[in-house]
Amino acid sequence: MTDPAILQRQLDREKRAREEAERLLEQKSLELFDAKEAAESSRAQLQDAIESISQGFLLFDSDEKLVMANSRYQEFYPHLSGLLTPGRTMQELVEAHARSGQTHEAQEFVSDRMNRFRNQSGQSWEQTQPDGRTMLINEKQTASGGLVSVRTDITALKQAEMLLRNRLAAIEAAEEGIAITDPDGNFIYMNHEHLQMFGFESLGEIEGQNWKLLYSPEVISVMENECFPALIRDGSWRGHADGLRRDGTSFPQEISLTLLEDGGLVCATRDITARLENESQKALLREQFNEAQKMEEIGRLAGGIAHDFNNILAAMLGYASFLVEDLEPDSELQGFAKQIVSSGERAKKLVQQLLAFSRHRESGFDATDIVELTGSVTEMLRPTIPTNIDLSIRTDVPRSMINGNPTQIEQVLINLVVNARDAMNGTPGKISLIVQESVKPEERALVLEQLSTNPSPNMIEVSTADDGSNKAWLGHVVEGQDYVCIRVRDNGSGIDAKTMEKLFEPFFTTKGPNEGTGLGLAAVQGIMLAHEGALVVSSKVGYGTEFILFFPVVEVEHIDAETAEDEADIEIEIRDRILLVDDEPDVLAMLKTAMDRSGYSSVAVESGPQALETLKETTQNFVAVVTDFMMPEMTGLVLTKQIRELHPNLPIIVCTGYSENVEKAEILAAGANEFLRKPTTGRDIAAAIETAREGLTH
Amino acid sequence: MKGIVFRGFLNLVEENFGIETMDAIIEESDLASGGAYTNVGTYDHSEIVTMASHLSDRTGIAVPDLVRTFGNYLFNHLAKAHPDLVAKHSNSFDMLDAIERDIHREVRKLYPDAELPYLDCQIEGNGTLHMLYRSGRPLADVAHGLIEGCAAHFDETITIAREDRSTGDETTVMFTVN
Repeated sequence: MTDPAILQRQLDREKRAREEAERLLEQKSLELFDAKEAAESSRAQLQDAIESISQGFLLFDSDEKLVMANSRYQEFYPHLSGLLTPGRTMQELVEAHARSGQTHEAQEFVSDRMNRFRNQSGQSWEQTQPDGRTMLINEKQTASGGLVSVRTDITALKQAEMLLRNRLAAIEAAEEGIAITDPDGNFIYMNHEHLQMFGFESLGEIEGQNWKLLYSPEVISVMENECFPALIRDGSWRGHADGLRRDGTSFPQEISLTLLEDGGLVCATRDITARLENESQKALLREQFNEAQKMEEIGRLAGGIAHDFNNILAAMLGYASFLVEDLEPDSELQGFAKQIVSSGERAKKLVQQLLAFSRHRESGFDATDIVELTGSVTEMLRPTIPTNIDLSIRTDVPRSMINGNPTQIEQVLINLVVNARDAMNGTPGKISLIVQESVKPEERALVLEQLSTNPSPNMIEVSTADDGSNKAWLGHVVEGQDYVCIRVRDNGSGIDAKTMEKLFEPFFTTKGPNEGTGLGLAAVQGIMLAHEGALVVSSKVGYGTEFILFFPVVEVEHIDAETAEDEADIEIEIRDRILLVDDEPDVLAMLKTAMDRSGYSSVAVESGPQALETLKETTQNFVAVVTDFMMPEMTGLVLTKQIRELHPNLPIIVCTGYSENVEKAEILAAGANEFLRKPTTGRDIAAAIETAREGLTH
Repeated sequence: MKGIVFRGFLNLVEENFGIETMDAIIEESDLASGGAYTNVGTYDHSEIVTMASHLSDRTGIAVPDLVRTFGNYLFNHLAKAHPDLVAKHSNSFDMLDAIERDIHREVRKLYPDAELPYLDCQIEGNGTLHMLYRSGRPLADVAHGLIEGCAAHFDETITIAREDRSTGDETTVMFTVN
């Protein structure tokens, strides 16, 4: 029998345990209620948070059943929106997605997708949607064996990435060098062009290095003291600075610096070495072009003046010669008249110099033996050279034919020899003329190269060598063409570089007043170019000067030699009537007097129409027509053609002082029988008339 | 420690040594709980140690043996109360291996404040089970009895070797079962 006290105690214990259990139960119920409320609140907060994120969110439990999908996910996959309800299986959703036509190879897609769902590697991946959007997908298993899938629409990010890649490609392809530094001035980027410009092959070779590595201490000082203050003030700076290549050589750059928000810099730069060279070359060409234009203008002006001068001189010389003939021989008055003729002759030569400079290729180009011509000019000049100057000639070839105007070539040689004489300044010296088939072999290549590369035959190139000698050349030579050259060499005072630059400029002279016109070498230039030749001048102050003249050699049979003029005296049939036509009254009056004094009976008219009118009235009486070429109302060329139509056998002589466009051949083709250049004498005209009459008779 | 364990211990004492002995050790132990245990309550584990000590004094049976017997009793109680948990397993090793993975997991769901021992089992191919017992309480003998009860339930004959690896306040024992 159990002690009742023990039983009572046990009952008490049981009672207390029951009460404790009830108390705990009540407490637990309250806790559960609180926990439920907290859980519901947490769930609401979680739901709210999940709804407010910009990503699509999907949660499956460990049985692959959908727990929740936020509305963003439904926006991403609208074709699944009706299916995104709790309890829907992962397999159902994947199959629905495959059926919607959003994927290719639906069966394979479902298999792959489920496999990926169930074997999470924890890595994210990108998925391109049929509408072009790109999704970044992150999936992870939860601690309870479920799965969270988060979808982020990264379409804009991908587009921005593409834009950045394209921009980077553009920067890499740019012809400008582009570099970026951090706030400390260390390079963090450099494009291909910038790397190459400074002699680097890859960014790794320069990345992290300071910008000062690419500049000399002097440039760094200028940058820090002048450029950077302006850069900080304005946010950008443009200018020029010499960069330093990896090999230590420097080069000129055009630089544009822009300050970045973080204190770094963007540097855009160009190597302007080639551009500076081009600009220098362009400036030189522009200067040469301007010089050539100036010479052309002066030439045209000189030609115009020469034309007028010729007419004036023709009258002056004509009348002065009448006075010389008519005045008492050796009388004081005849002496005055002779002085007028002498001065007129000098003026005539000056006009010839002007014409020569104007490079008008006159008629009178014949097959000329340059060797013989040089010899005769030398002998002609010898009396004018002081005895303390040794004038010598050496001809290395017996004969060399060119197509040239002997008078003009004489003029060239006279000008050069006279200049050489003057360069002696009265001291003893030596002048040598040498005629060679060509230049010396060792010089030939250099000279020909210089002349061949001369950009324009009209331009004059000047250079100064290391030994202080100066050189100028004009014209150019043609490959394959043979040239004969005449060297005119002296050991006089020489020509300095400054003078060399203006050597051929008209009216430029180093001689004193009344000693030189400044036209001598300008005429040489014109004559050499008219002969399609070239010229090289070499000189050194204190040592002397050498001119080398190049003339193209021709075969004799190619020359359309002019008919030699008959120098014999002309028998004039007294009182034969001739018709004189000239728009210059002074010249016309002088010609009429001259022809009348030569035994002709001349009729003078001032225009072509008047001449035609006169011929219609008194045709039978005229034995010849002598007409000027350049007349305002009707040119001598037109007049010749019209007379020839009417009178096929009437001799016509055309006289011209200067013409730019008409050659002798053209005038003769129009029907003229003879062509004369002004100023002409009555004797010249008479000879031409008789030649023409004889030609017509035969 | 949950009240259900204390109630199991007192049931064991009552069944084997009578209500007088049970009452005596409760009274002698001067327990804070007064010996009034409810299954869902939580009580200081030292009370069961004190009661086992007084039981040993009264019965002359060593405390470890008493506690081991209690472990054996606990497994039988589990098998009767939750036969579905045991019926899933065909041998003691699988059963023991599932205690931590399945049973303790469920207990933690129901009683988040429950302080359960950690039982880590590794079964080797040669018929050996290594079970590591780790707990803040010195009750490795309960685990020992549990293993014995489990083997008896499956009608298996086993040998159990113990290696005490305890350090400081934590009791760690490796059981090797063949």
